[in-house]
Amino acid sequence: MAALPELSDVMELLRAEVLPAAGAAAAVYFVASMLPLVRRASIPAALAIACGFAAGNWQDQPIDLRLDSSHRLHGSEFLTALQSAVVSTNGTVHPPQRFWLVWIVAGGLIAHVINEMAGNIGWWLKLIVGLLGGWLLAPHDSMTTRLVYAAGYAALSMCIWWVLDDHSSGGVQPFTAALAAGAISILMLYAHILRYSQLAMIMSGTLIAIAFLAWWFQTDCGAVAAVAALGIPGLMLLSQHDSAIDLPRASYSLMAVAPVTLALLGFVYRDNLGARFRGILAILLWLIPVCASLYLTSRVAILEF
Amino acid sequence: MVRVLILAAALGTGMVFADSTVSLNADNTKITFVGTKPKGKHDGGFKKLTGTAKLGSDPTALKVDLEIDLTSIFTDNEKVTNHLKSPDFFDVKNHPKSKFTVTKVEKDKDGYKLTGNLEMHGKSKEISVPATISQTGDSLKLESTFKINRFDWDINYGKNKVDDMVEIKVKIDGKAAK
Repeated sequence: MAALPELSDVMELLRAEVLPAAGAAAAVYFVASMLPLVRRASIPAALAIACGFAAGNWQDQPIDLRLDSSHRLHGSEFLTALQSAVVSTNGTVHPPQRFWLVWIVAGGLIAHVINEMAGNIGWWLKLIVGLLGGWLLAPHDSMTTRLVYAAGYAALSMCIWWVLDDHSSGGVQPFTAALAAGAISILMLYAHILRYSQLAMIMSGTLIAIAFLAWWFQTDCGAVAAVAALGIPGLMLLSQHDSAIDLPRASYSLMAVAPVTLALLGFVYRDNLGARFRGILAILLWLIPVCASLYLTSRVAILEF
Repeated sequence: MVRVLILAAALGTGMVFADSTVSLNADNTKITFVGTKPKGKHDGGFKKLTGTAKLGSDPTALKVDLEIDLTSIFTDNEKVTNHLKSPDFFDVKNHPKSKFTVTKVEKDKDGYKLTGNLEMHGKSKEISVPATISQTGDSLKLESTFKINRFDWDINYGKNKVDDMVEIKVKIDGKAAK
């Protein structure tokens, strides 16, 4: 029987990360949706995701955005590190792979917005971001390993993106992604990596705020697909590599591929189902593998707080 | 005859130098630490390490090279042990080793001061720590207790939840192999 977390720890998590992320995301999404030049396509959601992460990460900084703790991040320093990470074949790398995750998602958000505004060129950008993401996040064991990871990550990202493009309005997508992110934070507790758990909770807080407003105003929030397509598989890839706890590989895989299950909705005739029922079905389809992942994990590991 | 004597003397001298290297391992070298936080503390250490201590004519000529296997970390709590291995702290999957190389030993008022490079978590930093050193023949006894700031090695998770300073104790009690 797993013990419950201390109430003070939960309150601290809410105060320092979840609420700032949700508040910032809600404010930015609301304001951006009102501005004539910005409210096109997924721009409000993309801005809200970026600001939600920045606000949630502000205090504890579970994900360090600096390359050197002694000074702020410089553009030239970032490009040098990126170049080095791309060509590196060494087993140990600096910065560690996790540094790139938020930048990959940021690249995905930009690619998503471009895709909506400029057509198919955006898909090529998404593919490039997916390939680069897999390359940067993969363990640097060997060239073959990195190639396999890059190809697998890019393929999965494209699949998730393609599936979620059908569910870009009305709040179902961010709501389900928020629930999945909450489940990921529990998986990370099993894996004993608190910074990843905090990142997942920041993600969850951001997405739940966007979900509420998107449902209320019935607006587009397709940019959430970038988080689901790049952020979730990326976090799973990092966790599986970094954790000192041997959790089942299926736990990570199920969590990563869960959004793809929404493709099954394609077999259901739209006319036979109301929007509400389709939404509930979408939530269930995504959450079934998520729950299976947590079940498999709980069979081999103990959740401690 | 004289040549034979000179050769024997040279070989003998060489053997003395060869014998004055102490192989360091987990049996003769203990590295422990105390990590503190506002609500308590945890004791821990490392089960695997290798290295050498080259003895000179006196303790100021001592050279020490130590490589610590960070995956062998242990604490008084298994959950804490696994958490310390994670990217929140040592990130042992990406940085499995830590190295300490003593570059200078100076006489201090209460003992000696060791200066060296501590490489950990992908960063190297020079530190100076107090130590007591006792060198008798081919045996070496060294004890040092000091504190390091984990942020100097970018181990920066949990600011205000886990204290910045970590106390480390090193104890060597070894003898050069004959």
